[in-house]
Amino acid sequence: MRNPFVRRHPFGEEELSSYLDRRLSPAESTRLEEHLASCEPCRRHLEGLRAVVEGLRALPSAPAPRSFALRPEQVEAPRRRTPVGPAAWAQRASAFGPAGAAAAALLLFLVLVGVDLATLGGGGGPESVPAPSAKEAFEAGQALSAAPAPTLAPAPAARAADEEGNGAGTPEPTTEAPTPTEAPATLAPPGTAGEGGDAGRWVLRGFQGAAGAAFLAAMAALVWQRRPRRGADHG
Amino acid sequence: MQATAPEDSRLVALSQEGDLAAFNALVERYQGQVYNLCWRMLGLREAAEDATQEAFLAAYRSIRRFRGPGFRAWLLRIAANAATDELRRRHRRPQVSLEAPISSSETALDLPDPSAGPEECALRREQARCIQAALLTLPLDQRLSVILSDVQGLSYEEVGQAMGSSLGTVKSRLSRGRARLRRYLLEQGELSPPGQRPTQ
Repeated sequence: MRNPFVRRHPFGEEELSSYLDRRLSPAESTRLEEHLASCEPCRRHLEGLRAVVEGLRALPSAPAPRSFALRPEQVEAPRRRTPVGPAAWAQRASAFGPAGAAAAALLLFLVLVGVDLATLGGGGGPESVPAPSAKEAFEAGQALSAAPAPTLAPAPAARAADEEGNGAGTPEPTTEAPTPTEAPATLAPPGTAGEGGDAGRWVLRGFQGAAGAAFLAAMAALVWQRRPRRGADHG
Repeated sequence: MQATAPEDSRLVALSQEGDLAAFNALVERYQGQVYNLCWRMLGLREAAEDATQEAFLAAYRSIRRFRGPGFRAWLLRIAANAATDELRRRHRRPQVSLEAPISSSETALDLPDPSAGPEECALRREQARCIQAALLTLPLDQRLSVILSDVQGLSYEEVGQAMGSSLGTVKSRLSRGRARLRRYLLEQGELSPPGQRPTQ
């Protein structure tokens, strides 16, 4: 059922506007004119629109206040300045995109894992006791290599201790400096060295996790970037 | 119009080869129209100058991609974009409110016919000021279509080309813009009392 208003005034703004511009078909124009002949409100509405259009057309043109002709220096392509410092690094890094970021994150992850394995004795769990294992490593190192460590006791004394089968014994130091393996055992109360090692390990593993997450994120970005796009060429 | 069309195409072809003098001949030819479009869109002389300069710079940089026909409509489209950018830029960093009443120095551009008497002159000046203020109340798409069609005198087809819109969209925007202007001018007492026709 049609709106009563639309029945009474079947021509909307668009038809009236088009009529003013003579863009209605002859048949539509005739129908509108017939309606206007009998509808005072529509006639007034049309006159208001006509006054608006005439007012707009009567607006004078302003002369250009100056010449807008282009000068050669205005149209020269701006030279690209070579960035220096951190900006240059950022630009180089961004040039590689997600692939570069993924590679960097993976490398960082591997380095951190390597550090973990090298410094914390192969990644034992928190329940392992670091001091004895370090000591054992020291002793194993002494057994495998005759080369003396700079601050450790000379090789003969150590060898003598090994040969006597006194694995738990401390080599006789010939210098006053304590051995690295002795320091935690003698200076720190029991358990302190283990807690410090745990904390360091957790920090290191936090970094490992972050690097791993960065690697995964970069890989996801890479996959997203290389996904097939639909309608990309339609501009 | 028939005489200028080939001339435009020749200048455009030269400009596409990097001939700045040829492009500047086009600038001289259309700078009044581009400036007027920007000025009617923005309502501020200084902003219009900035937008006009930006428009010609942008047109020069992209003229190699122009494939015709209708250099004027293409240029006006660039000018409309430049005016819109300028408007947004000034809204972000407002120095002079774009909604503020137009000052007399700004409307000094609307010089009426000098042959008219002082009273007639003042009346026309006031009418022009009121219409310009009304234009600034329109949404950008309606404002642009009204300016291009009714102030600049472009056909529906040219307006569509300049706005990148279909004919139907042009008609719709134009009619809505005119209707809003009519209501605004009625409220300001610049038109005869409204009829009883209710709004649809």
